[in-house]
Formats: sequence, C-alpha cells, structure tokens
Amino acid sequence: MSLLDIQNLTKTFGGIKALDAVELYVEEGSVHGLMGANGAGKTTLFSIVAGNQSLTSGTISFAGTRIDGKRPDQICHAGIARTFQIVRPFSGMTVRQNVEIAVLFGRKQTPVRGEIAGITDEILTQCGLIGLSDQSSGTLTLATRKRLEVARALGTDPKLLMLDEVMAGLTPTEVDDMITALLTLKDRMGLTILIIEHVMSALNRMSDCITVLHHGQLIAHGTAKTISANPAIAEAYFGTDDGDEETD
Amino acid sequence: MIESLLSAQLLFAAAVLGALYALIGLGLNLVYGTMRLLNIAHGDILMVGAFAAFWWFTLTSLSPLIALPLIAVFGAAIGLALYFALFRHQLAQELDASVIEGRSLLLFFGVSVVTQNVTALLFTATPRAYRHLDEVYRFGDLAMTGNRIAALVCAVTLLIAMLIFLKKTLFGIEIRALIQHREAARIVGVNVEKVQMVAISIGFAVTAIAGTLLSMTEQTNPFMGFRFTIAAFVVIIIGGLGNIRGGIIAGFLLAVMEIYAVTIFSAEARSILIYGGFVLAIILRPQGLLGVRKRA
Amino acid sequence: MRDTFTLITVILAGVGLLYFGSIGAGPYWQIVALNLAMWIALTQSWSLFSGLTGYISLGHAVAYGLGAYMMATLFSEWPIWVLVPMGGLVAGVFALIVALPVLRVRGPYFVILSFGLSELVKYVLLVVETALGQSSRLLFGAPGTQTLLVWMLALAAVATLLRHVIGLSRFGQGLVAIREDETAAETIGIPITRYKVLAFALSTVIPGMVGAVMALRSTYFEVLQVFSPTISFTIVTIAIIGGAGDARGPVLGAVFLIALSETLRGVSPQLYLVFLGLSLIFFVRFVPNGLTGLLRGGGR
Repeated sequence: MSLLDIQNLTKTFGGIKALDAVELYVEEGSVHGLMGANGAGKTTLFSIVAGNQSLTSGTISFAGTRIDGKRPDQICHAGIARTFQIVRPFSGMTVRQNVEIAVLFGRKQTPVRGEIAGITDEILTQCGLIGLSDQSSGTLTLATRKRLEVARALGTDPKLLMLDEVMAGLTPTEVDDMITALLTLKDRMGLTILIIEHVMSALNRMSDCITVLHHGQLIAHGTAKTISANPAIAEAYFGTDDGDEETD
Repeated sequence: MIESLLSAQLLFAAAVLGALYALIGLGLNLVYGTMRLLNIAHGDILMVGAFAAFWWFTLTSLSPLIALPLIAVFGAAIGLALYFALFRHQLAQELDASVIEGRSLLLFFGVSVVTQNVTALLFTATPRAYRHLDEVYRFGDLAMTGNRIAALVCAVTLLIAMLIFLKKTLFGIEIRALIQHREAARIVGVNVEKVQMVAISIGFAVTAIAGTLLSMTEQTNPFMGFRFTIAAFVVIIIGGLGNIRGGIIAGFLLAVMEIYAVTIFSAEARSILIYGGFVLAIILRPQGLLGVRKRA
Repeated sequence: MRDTFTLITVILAGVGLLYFGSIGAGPYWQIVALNLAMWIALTQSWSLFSGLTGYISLGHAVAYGLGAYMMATLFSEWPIWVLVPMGGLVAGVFALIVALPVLRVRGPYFVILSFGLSELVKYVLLVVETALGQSSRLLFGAPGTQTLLVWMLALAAVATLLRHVIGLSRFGQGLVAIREDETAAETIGIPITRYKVLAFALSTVIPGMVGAVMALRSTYFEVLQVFSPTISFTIVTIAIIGGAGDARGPVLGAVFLIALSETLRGVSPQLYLVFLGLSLIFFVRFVPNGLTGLLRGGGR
C-alpha cells in the first residue's frame, strides 16, 4: 500500500481543468519527484493534498485513510507537511519561534512544555539553523528562508514532506547543500518526500521515481533515467532541444 | 400599488439620489483605486462641501451652483493637504497594499472625527438648511423642485465629464492605468506621484461638489457624513473596487433600492438597508478579490 | 510565571489605589476611576482578539451595547449580579453567531465590516424599541457609583489578567501566527477558524458586562448612545496610543485618554474628540507601536 494514494484527481476552475484525472502513488520511504512546465498543475496538486484547496473529484488517501476534504490543520496532524513555492515565514518571529510554533501545533500529540525547546533545537541543528535561532526571520537570505521553511515543516513531525520548488533561486552550491541536507534528514527522520522541482539535476540525483504532469494531465511516470531518456517529455517540457534546465 | 411604485415621482427621487451616490462612489473609487486608501472620512468631505455651500448662500445670497468651482478647489485642497501630510511618505515606500489600507483606515478615522468635531465646534451641531430654487415644477403627476432638478443635472453632467476625462485625457488614462496595475503603469512611465495627486484632488473635489448639491435639498449638520461614507463603500464594493463604471451603476442601483425600501417599509428601513447591504456586500464579495489586487 | 505574579501584584495594587484613593478623594474622582477602569476593561478585551490576531475590530461597541440593552430591559426583573454576567453572555453568543461569516473577511475589510455590523445591530434594535413602544428606558433604584466602581475594577482586573495569560499561552501564540500568515498557520496545524471564533467571542464577553454595568450609571438608557461608534473608536485609539502588544498598552493608553478627557471635556466635548482624533493620527503616523513600543525601545 502506498503511503500517499491519489486517484482520479480532477480540479476545475470555472472552465479550466487544472488537474485531469491524475494518479499518483508515493511509496513509503521514497523520494518521489514531480515535474512539469509552469502551469502544469503541480502546486495545485500540493495545495489540494495539503487541504489548502478543494478538489473537484477523485480520492486522496494517506496511510490508508481518506484525507480529501479535510482541513489543512487536520491533514497536518495526519502527518503531511508542505512548503510553499513562495516562502511564507512568520516574519515577525525569530527563526526559533517559527519552528517552535510548528512543534507546538503540528503534532497529533502536543509535546510536554519541557520538551519543546529540546525538539526545536534538534530540528534547528539538523537544518543548520541553530546559529541563527534568535534572528528575526524577516531578515534572512532567500536560501536561509528556504531552509527555515523546511525546518518549520519538519517541526510538525511529518511522515510525508512535500517540497515545492525549494531549490528555486538558489546557486548551484546552495542546491548541492540543500540536496545533501534533505537526503540526510530523510534518513534520520524516516521521511517520505514528494518534491516539485524544475532543477533537473536535483530531481535526477534525489528521486527514486518521477511523475511528469503537463496541462494538468499525467503524461509519464518512471525512474529519473527513463524520464530523461524520453524524447516526448523533453519536447513537452523543454520545447526545443536546448534544455532550459535551471530556472533562475 | 404597482403604479404608485413605478410613479415618476419615485423614479425621479431615485435618479437624483442615484446621481449623488454615483458621484461619491466615483470619488471614493478614484482615491481607493489608485492608492488603496480606505477613506472613511469620505462622507465628511461631503459634509464640508455642504457646509461650504450653506455659508456661501447665507453670506452672499448667491446660488451655491455658482460657487461649485470654488468648492471643488477647496475640496481638492483638502485632499492634497492630507496627501502630503499623511500618505505621501507611506505610498512612496511601496508597502504591501494591506498595510496601506490598514493604516489609511485608521488615519482617515482620525481625520473623520477631527473634521466632524471641528465643524461642530465652529458651527454647533444644530442642523442648517437654506431655501434655494425651491419652486415646484409640475409635469402631470410629477412634482419636482428646482433644486432637485439642478442637482440631477449638475451631477449627471459631472459624471459624464468625468467619464470623458478618464477616457480621453492623458491624466485620465494614467489614472485608469494606475488603478488597473500599479507596477505596469510605473514601468511604462506614468509619473505615479503626480497622478496620485491628481486622483486625490479630483476624488475630493467631486465629493465636495456632491455635498453642495445635496445641501440644497437636505439639512446639513456636522455628523451627516457617516451615512454617506457607508453608502459610498457599499457602492464601490457592489460595483467592484476601482471599477469606475461599475460604481456609477451601483450608485443608481443603491438609490433605487433605498427609495423603494423607504416607500414600501419605512424611514428606519433605510438605515437597516444601507448597513445590512453594506455587511452583506463585504461578506459576499468574491473571495480573493483582495488577493487579486494585491501588490506585494 | 514570575511575570504573571508581578502582574497580579501590580493589578491588586492598582485596584486598591484606585478604589481607596477615589473613595477618599470624593465622588468626582470615583467617576474618573470608573471611566478609567471601564476603558481598561474594554481595551484589554479588544486587544485579546484584535491585538493578537490583527483583525482590527471597529465595532466592539456592539458587545457593550448588547450588554447594556440586556440590563436596561431586564433590570426590573432580575438582580444585578445575574444581569451583568448575562450581558457578557449575550454579547458572547452574538459574537459566536456572526463569527463564521464575519471572520472570513480579512484585513481592512474586516475593520469596516465590524463597524457596519455594529451600526446594523443598532438600527435593528432601534426598530425593535419603536415597535415595543419604547424610545428610552428609565432605570430606577440603580446602585450608586461606589458599587459600580467595585464591579468595574473587578472587570478591569480580570480583563488585564486574561489578556496577559492568553498572550503567553499556546492559544495566544497560535493567534499571533494567524496574524502573521493564516495559510501557513493552518498548514502547520493551527485550527485557524476555531481559534479566531473563540478569540472573537472571548473578546466580547467582558465588554458586554461592562456595558451592563454602565447602563446602571445613567438611569436613562437609549439605544443610540450605547451603540455609539465613539466607543469603538476610542477603544482602537487607546490601543494604538498605548500599544496592543501586551497587557501594559491598554493601561497606558487609557491613562492618556482619561488625562486628555479630564483636561478637555469640561471645556468642550468636541474639543476633546478633536484632540483624540489628532492623537490617533499622530500615533498611527509616527509612533505605530504606541507608548509600550516606545518603552521597549521601538521594538516590536
């Protein structure tokens, strides 16, 4: 049984089908990539899974239980965390407070008062943010804010971590750091990761398998190797042959 | 009953009120649309225009209609003064729209209280009225006073003039551009600050004129503005924020509903209608209207 | 928690000072103390919702008015110690009823909406009163200022403590997260709707009780007076001037207001309002974090 089981997911806005009968199965313990041109429906899919948006039809199951139609906070407690494409830190709070509040609210069982600081510190350390704990999150660089976004998501103790273009805007070095960090976190915390990315090198390195969306439809699914070798996808995704891999 | 509902008398009343609502909606749309300023002192500017007309007539015995250009300039001056004192600085910082909206709301609330009470201090809270052009003209069943006809004619003329201004003149086009998409307007070379100044001047001038026209037919007192502020907001929300033409239609619509509510029910119904409409309009407006116009 | 202990001490000291001081100083000062306590109670409660969530309510007069109305209509039937809490209850229930549709609206639109709602309730009750054949109600045999002062000081103390405790609590932190970013807050597990509704309702209970007590102050009740926008406006002004970040703000702001009021009201109520309006403008423009912000060195 897959950890995340999406069947026949359709989302229409007015006359437009943002998602059309999409199927997606994320196996526990895997890193599952999600790619597609802008407007393919990737972030919409995330929003729907996380409960931020409603679906028009279809079913979503997580660890065997139906979660479609539930509220974002309920889905969070079920064990799914997501980051946002455009990061949304609580900019009036410090780095520590951002994570702390996720620890305070995101778990099915609220931790005991005395444990919260410890758990928060642990996450901050693992994400390399412990040195910046008391800095206001509004003053961070983009790369750090992205790390904070991940750290905050981890604060909720998720089983499934959904990352939305977490590498966008990072330099190649920062991308490498992020990939290493994510894979380490995945092992240490026993995570399953569903990741939207345009940075192909990241997807290729990290993913056990990749799903490709185009205009709301699933057009391919397979390993990184199969996908990159598929000319039809390259055509749909890149247009011509000059592979515009890294988005700014 | 139907015949009396469709009577020319009621339609005329709705027309006059509608034209006034359309004007104040236009004034508010200009200020909000271009700068995201929530002017809840809007009705008090109308009150200022009304008082100006009253004193003009009382002191000179000349028609307030003659004073319209003067009062317009006076209104514009107030707008510009507020712009420079309170908003110019903040607008230049290009803050998030919701911050500007929030702050301007509180600032204008202060302005409203100050305006009302300064006026009350200067002139006392006693309602004032004057008689001008109150000869009655009859066409069959329809009885119209000269001042109402004048108000209607002036208001409609001004509305048409404004529509032409916004469509045909450079400033008008720039204002519309600013309303539609601030960033894009700036990029194509619109002088945002200058256009903002024009917008607030015209917005306040138009409102002051509406006050003058109103003063011919209704009593004036320092606290009369609230009701029109609410009406103006209902108008622009129904018509679509920043939507000039929508606001004009909504103005007439609101007037029709109001006149008929009072006729069918009672005068108290008017307040309930306006505030009830106001509450519903804000609650029911399409979700994300705020998000759509966000300008982070 | 040491913080809370200090606060309780300060509150007790303040209440004692106000009570015994004003008793000693005479009836005029009892009224001053009464008003001061009233504004503290109102603004602390307001701040519990608006200060923490950022949903600025400009319609809190509706809670005050409902409480007052409850007292005015049932004064002859039931004892005061029942009616005051009932005033709070009515206000709270009203808030619960309107909360869901009203709280869907965000930012400045909520502000205007709350104002419109208060006015709507006012006009509806006016119609009701007319239908009942009442234009104003008289309350004979209402208790004297000293009793009212005790009530009001108690309400001010409770409101201050409540604001402080909630500000430090998990609930309060959730509310602050809602202010920062509702979507993100919901995504990390905060039940935003439940929290907003709860905070909103909670913030109206004490104002309802305040309204009920104040209805006894003038033996004469009129709808237009108790649902006055000036009350809503004054609360917000106090919060802006004092700062809404913690429980100290409303106290500082209320003191400022009373000082202004005592100086100018005798001269002319309109002049007082003019200065109040100017103060609001000044603080929003130049000192947005209020007096407590200044104390903290301008930090948030």
